Amino acid sequence: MALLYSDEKSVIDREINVENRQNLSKDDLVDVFELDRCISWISEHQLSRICLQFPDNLLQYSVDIAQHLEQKSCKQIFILGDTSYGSCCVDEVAACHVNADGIVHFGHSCLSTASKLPVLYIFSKQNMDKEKFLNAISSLGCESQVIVLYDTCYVHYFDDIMYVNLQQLSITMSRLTVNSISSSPVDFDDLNVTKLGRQYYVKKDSVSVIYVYVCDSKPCRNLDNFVMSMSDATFYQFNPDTNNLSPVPPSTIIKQHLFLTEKVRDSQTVGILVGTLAAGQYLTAVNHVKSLCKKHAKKSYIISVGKPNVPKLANFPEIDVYVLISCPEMSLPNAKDFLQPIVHLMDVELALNPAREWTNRINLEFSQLLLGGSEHIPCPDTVSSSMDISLLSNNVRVNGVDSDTPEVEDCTSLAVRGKSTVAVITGREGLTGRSWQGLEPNLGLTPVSTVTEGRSGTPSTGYTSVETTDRS
Amino acid sequence: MCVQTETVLRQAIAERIKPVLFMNKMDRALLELQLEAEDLYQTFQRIVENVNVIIATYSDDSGPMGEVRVDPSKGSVGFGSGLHGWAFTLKQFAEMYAEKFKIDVVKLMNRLWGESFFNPKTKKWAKQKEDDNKRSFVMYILDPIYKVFDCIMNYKKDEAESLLQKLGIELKPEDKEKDGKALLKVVMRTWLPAGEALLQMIAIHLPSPVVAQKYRMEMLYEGPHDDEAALGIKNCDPNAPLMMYVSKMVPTSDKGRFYAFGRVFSGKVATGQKARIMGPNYVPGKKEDLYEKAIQRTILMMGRYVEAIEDVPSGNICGLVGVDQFLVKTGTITTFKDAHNLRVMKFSVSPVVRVAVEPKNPADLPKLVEGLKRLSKSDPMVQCIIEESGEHIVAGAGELHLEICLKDLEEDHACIPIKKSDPVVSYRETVSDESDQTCLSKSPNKHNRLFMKAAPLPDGLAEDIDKGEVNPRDDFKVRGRYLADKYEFDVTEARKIWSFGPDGTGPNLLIDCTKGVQYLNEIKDSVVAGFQWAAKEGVLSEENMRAVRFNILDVTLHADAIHRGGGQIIPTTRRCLYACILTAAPRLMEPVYLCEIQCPEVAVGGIYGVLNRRRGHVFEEMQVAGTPMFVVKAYLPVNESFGFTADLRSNTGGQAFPQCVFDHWQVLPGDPTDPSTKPYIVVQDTRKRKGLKDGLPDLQSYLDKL
Repeated sequence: MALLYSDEKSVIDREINVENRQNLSKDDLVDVFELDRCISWISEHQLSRICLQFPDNLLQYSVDIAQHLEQKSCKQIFILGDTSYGSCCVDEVAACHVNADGIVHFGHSCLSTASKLPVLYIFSKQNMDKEKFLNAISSLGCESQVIVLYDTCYVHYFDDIMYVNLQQLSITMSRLTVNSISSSPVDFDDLNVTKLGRQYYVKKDSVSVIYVYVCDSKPCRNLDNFVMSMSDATFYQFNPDTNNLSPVPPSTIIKQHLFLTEKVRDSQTVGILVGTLAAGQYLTAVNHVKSLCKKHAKKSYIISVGKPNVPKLANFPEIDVYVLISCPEMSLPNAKDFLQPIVHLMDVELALNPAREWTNRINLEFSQLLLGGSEHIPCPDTVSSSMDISLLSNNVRVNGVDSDTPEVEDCTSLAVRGKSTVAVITGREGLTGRSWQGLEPNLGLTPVSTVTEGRSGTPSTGYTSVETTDRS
Repeated sequence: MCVQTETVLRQAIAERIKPVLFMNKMDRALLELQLEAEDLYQTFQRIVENVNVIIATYSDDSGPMGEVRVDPSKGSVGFGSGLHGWAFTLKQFAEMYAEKFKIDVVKLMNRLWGESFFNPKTKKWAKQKEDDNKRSFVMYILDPIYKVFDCIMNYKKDEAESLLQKLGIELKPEDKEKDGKALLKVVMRTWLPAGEALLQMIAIHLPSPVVAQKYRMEMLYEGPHDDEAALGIKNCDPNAPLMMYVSKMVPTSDKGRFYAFGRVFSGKVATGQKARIMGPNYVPGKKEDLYEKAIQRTILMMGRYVEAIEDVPSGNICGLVGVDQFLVKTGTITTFKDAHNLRVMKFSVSPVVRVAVEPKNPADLPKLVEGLKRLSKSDPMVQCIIEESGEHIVAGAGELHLEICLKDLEEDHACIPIKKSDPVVSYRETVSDESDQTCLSKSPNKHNRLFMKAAPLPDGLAEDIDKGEVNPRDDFKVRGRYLADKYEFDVTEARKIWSFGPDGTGPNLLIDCTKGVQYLNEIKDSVVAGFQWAAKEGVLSEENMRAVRFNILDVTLHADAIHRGGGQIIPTTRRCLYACILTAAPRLMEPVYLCEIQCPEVAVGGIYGVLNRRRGHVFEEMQVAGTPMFVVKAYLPVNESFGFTADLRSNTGGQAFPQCVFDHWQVLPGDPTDPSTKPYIVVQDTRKRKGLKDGLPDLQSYLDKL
């Protein structure tokens, strides 16, 4: 096995770039990370092996926290770092490696995980001036319904008291889909919208809705996703660092999805990039993309390579476009460096589901688009073929399956060579386009020789033979 | 003669299409300019000469078309007015007079043009002008026409009537009531019907398809010159396999549908026939851009009328119904399974001016998209694309062309109100020097190294590639020889051109200059993929690159195939190419128009003023012989051409008329990495429009240390 995997030492030695924002003392930890709540949760669920999952920027506290919990609960504690996908998702697979029966997730979360194991979310608490916040938002219009959304690190302020406070201003408060506050007596029964890890109530008769999002000035994917998914609503951002309430400009990246959609329509080969093993229904999503591709006679390949990066994905130059199945908050910051465009399920739906039309809204939460989701639009069983012009290359393309495309000799056809008949295997069209197609066997041209011992080892660990020296 | 005419004429000759000359708008010469007959003759004479000069420049009589020059005395030059619907050649008049003079028509035609004078008193012909003789063309051809114009336009009713009788023109009763211009039109049209003159010119002087296709086949057909299709075209054989070239999409009354209009070069195209429809990207043996469909209907297209017809044999032009959706602008229709494409007609213009469009009402977006697709079909040159930013772009030859396209888009294709941005020019990225260092980039796993340098292509090579003189399909030995002879390439290097880019055909070269590198052939595909990517999205502002050669100087590779796969090599190649560009004094190239301006002498000063302000550069100024008009020819950057016409008019009192055609790409002076220069501003504007980071990419992010 060791030959197949790279050395674990390299993972431990790896340096990560983290911008450090504060240094917490050990005593602060108990409060900021609600360690008492952790302990009570552990005993409540009667867990024996617990994994603590930390994002990179909180790893520095992991040892202290683990020690504290171990002492207080007397249970086995494991620390998970270097998550397979985004650190916002619960890494259930890693936890299963140590047979854990519970996971405590620290830091920001996308809340998209549907885990089989019990999970406790601990959002590192951030401070906010409650009075100033209430003051700031009370000035918002009363004709529209106002809904308050917030970043996970402020959840501890949005408790029952806040609920009452806001209700006095006739402002609706949202809550997170995971119940992190102790059992709430307040009536949350009529929450009719569940979206991007938030639940809230939208009045059926309200004409326009104003959303207020509480988060600091750092880029917030959750806010971006909300803005993109409701381009007709008005958004304000409340920044607890400056106590400023400012309008959020309409998203400029929505239009980029027009381009991505066109890329999907033009593609012949689609790579389905698995970017999560935790988000609910990810397999359904993969199958959905597969079936859409099939209806359009596009080839699809499932590619699961852990965290996607440029060299991994560029290994498949024949793939035209990658569909990333991941939690809505996963982003690839250097998207321009990738050889192929990376799109979401929404783009594939827009491109290949004839029943779905462009509405200037982009929903990156793929489960919403699948059967049972609020934005599911069933795709007809067969997509009748139609001719179309690509707006990228200005060439003709076919939508759907063209039933009578001319038969070009495919790989199984027989060819007559001399007197005998042989099957000619040409393989995939893409590969035949390559100039180098593999080793030439040179049958009969190389002299017969006895077996000699070759090299062994991996590039990162080094090889046993002397040949390694000639690579410098 | 204006630039457009010259461009078209040049292209026709290059395509081995024999020209005849028709001088139009003679009505304006008589009514508006009121030229004297002799002056008009001189004008005609000069134009014929000019046309023949161009013809002589681009063809020679020993070519397959034989003698191409036009000659009024042979009847290959027509005169007339398309607007009024009349025209003549010398043949028409020679036939009228032949009987009267008892001279053979051919002989008379010779006498009716050039230095040939007739003395009515002595009834003698002479070779020079004397006191009482008159130029025969003026006397026998222009005088009668002038007379008709004079008596009708000056309402000399009686004189007109007798003249009509003399000429044997009978008017329909309803036309007799007319007078002035309306009457003039009817009279001239009845006397000298344009259709007849043109048909005669075509029938007598232009080669039949049987003749022309013999020598045109090799220009027309991309496949081997001895396959069934080639022979069918060569012999214009109606029993050979079908070969038809669709050259234009003509809108039908059915919105969004088009007639595919073109010429049958071989075989027969018939209603209901099953045929292969091949777009310009079809490659024999592949499936791309190939459809096999039945032709719904074949039709004859006569002006605005169409008529269904069962079949059309080779040598004819016709329209097809039902194939429009499988083609964008042009294509080949064939029944021959192994047929190659008929060569796509090249335009000498290119879509260098672009505007972004969006619907006024965002909900109309689907209609806009549909409209853009129709527009890209109906115009032979326009490009309609989505940019990475999500903007919809319409790209055309110039401001005027775009204006027409957008009007069509708004009124005919999308039928919705449209917002449009100011026009922007597309630029190209190039280098002005060789890289000042050998650029090294390491693969992400640090086990592979690429060493490369960039250098500008020699002058003229990029244009040769654009024209297809140098192209990736040529045999590498032939191409190598050509490059060595014409551009002083090293022969071994010239034979090792790995790729043209972008899109596999563009005017940038990737050349293998390495010696004895192990496994190099294994990474060729990956390096080429990286090159195509970089050539399409240059490092400065993600515009296409142009006229750059990249030399791969050395490569070190990991001994294990798995560690030198595409994932390691493709992104590394791109980084290395970017480093090469940044170290080779990068420059921007802008498109430049050839601009021709006609004006009276007094306005010339004003033209210079306007051109100077717009970075224009005059390279020719001459008086049109025999007229007070001047012609100024200048190069004008396309970016400076917006509003040029209006500016010119206002500075010359409306006396100057410009005509512009795209001519070439030219380096925009200045270093785009220096914030005080214009190229820097252009790069930043482009980056902003594309949503890229401000500033310029850092060389150090592409370059690695040994």
